[in-house]
Amino acid sequence: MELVVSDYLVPVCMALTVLALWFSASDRARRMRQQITVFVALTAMALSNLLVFIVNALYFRPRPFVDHDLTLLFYRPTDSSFPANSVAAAFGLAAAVWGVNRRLGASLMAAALVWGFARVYAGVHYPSDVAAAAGIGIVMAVIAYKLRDLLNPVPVWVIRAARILCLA
Amino acid sequence: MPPFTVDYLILVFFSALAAIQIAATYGKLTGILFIKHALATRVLGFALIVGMFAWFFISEPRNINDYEGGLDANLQAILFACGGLAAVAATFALSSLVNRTMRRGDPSPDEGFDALTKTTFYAALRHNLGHWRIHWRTRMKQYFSG
Repeated sequence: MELVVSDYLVPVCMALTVLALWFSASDRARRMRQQITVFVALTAMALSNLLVFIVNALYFRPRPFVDHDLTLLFYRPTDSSFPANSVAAAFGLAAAVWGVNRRLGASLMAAALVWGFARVYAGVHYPSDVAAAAGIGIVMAVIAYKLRDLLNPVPVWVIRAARILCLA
Repeated sequence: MPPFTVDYLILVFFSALAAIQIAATYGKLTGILFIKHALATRVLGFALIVGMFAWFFISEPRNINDYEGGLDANLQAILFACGGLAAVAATFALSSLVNRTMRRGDPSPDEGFDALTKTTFYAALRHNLGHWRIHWRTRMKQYFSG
């Protein structure tokens, strides 16, 4: 459980998946879709972080181990418990990937869910922190997709420029 | 640089290198593969990722707060970007060296990754830049018109 709840296992695996998306399509049209999704995923993650930052500034909820007698399986974070920041970013990324690849997106969602559950089990979040974080992540992914449509064709230009340098 | 940061960078660099190799087998980007056999690349790549995580978590206690030496989310993101970009650069450089004799016809300009199914990153980049240097006016028109 200490491995799953860690700040490094799930985030690095998810980031590696997004990196792999850049390289893994075998035809040009699919590659373009996947590479644009990488931008969408990063935007969704950044927007999720931003919203959590704003919520944290307006509302502070103490961690469960502060108010309850728990066996803590993790270090003692000092920031607000609501919403779960890292889980929001993970759900944002997973939901964005789900937009282009249902199976991979569902796997990442499952990983984010397990990570969220592990954080509750370890005593650093309430279930409602994780549920709110999931909601934030998914909504931010939808907004990131809308932003992509608004910014079109800029992402396509960026990828075509990267093609000249054989980077996309 | 704190040891934790260095360890994290090493984890990211090698696991990203492996992830790129695995992804390249699915994308059929043979020009950037270190080993031509797809299954062997996937097995070795997966083993490298698992090995790097095992090393990272076994070598030191990693569940520590950021003010006690751990990494906060922002620093993690920056370090992942650095490690990931270093892995991309290393992949392009090493694969160009390993596959230097690979050439299956000249790539057409703007092919991007499609060129890496025929030749190395270095050869494709050199070819593209040479073409753009001569034909940049017409290419720019095509670039913005679609």
